[in-house]
Amino acid sequence: MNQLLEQTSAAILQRVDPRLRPVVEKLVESGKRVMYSEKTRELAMQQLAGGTDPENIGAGVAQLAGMLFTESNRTVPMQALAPASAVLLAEALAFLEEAGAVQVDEQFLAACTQALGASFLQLLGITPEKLQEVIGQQPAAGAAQPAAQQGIVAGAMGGA
Amino acid sequence: MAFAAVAALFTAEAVTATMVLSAVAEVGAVMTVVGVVTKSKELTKIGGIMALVGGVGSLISGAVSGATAAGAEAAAGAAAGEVAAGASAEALASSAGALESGLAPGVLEVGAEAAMSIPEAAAAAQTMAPPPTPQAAPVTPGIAEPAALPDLGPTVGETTGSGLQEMRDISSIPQAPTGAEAPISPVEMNPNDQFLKAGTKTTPPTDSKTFWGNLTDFAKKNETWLKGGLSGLSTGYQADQRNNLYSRELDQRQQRINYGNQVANYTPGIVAGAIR
Repeated sequence: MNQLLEQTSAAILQRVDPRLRPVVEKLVESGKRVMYSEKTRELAMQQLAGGTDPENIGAGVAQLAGMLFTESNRTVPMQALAPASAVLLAEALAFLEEAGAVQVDEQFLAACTQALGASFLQLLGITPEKLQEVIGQQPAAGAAQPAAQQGIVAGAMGGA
Repeated sequence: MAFAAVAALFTAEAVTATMVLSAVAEVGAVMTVVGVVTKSKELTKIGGIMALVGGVGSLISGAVSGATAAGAEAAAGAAAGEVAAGASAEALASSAGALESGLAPGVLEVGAEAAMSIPEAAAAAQTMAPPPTPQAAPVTPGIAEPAALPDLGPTVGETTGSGLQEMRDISSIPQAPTGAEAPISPVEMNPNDQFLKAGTKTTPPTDSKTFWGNLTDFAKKNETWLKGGLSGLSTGYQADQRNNLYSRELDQRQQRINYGNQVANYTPGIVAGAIR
């Protein structure tokens, strides 16, 4: 594997919670099996037929991560799935580089990672509007404080 | 077409607020790591913003209790983490095999057919998933089985104008079913989840530049609560540090007291003994 890709995989795995490390490794192994399996190889080839640009590669790996998530009956935590998908991206890029389809450098890897993140979040249906719904319906962090800070004295004084 | 077919797999699944924020935070963290390795300022910046949005969002939404998101998340997931790791690892190992045999070439090209073949593989995996241990905390009720739950108000599938549903009083929710029917994940085992999204809409793929541009604009528009949340995290961290210092000081005082008790029994040395 390309040294940059090895470095990336190592850095990602290093920040994974040790309790979740076996889950991440299982995910990566399962993902590799799907990627390299004879039965699904055609699927991978069809994906690559769309081009080896970062957007296509990122979307392909995101789809793989989505499949793994669904196949695990949604029991896999995001803390494991996100790092695993990044490691699978490195694996996919290593495979493509060995096949001579791409030349992986820092810019290319960064672009692929951006595409992977965008595609993965879109698979979950996450958009700015969704985030606004999820977060925006909660009171702002400091909204309740002014009311809470009115103590006994202030209250006796008429709530100044 | 394939992307839409895979995205459609999520359509019938409920995505919790915790899952959304956790995904954003984790993707952001991964992007930050890769950004550092590749020395990409843009990637590091986007990753940092997303990690912040996800982390602070979790804090504000009540998904995390305690001063810091990271620490509380670890505490909340500690009991379930091992269960989830074991259950999901086993389910995944068996489902990967099922996936290989269940998928025919090109099956994901057609949305309707994909929906038939992949759940079959998932069903095979379900039967092999080990049951959770009793330490598992009550989970939010399985969306697939609303009939087993007490009246929670709007049933799954009905949506409000905003597309979100509120859960009733959580104390009335019974223990989740055990065994393969009870997906357990630290992400979902949050009794404070107030939102259930009935179905995730299939969003058309947007290219990454546009997507991240939209999300960073969102972060800029919501700068106030982001800063507030960050300030809260910082305050919580400082409080935690002060607490640690105070504990250490108490320990030292106790040691001095213990040492002082020993000093009274200390036999005077040669000089002190000679002077007396």
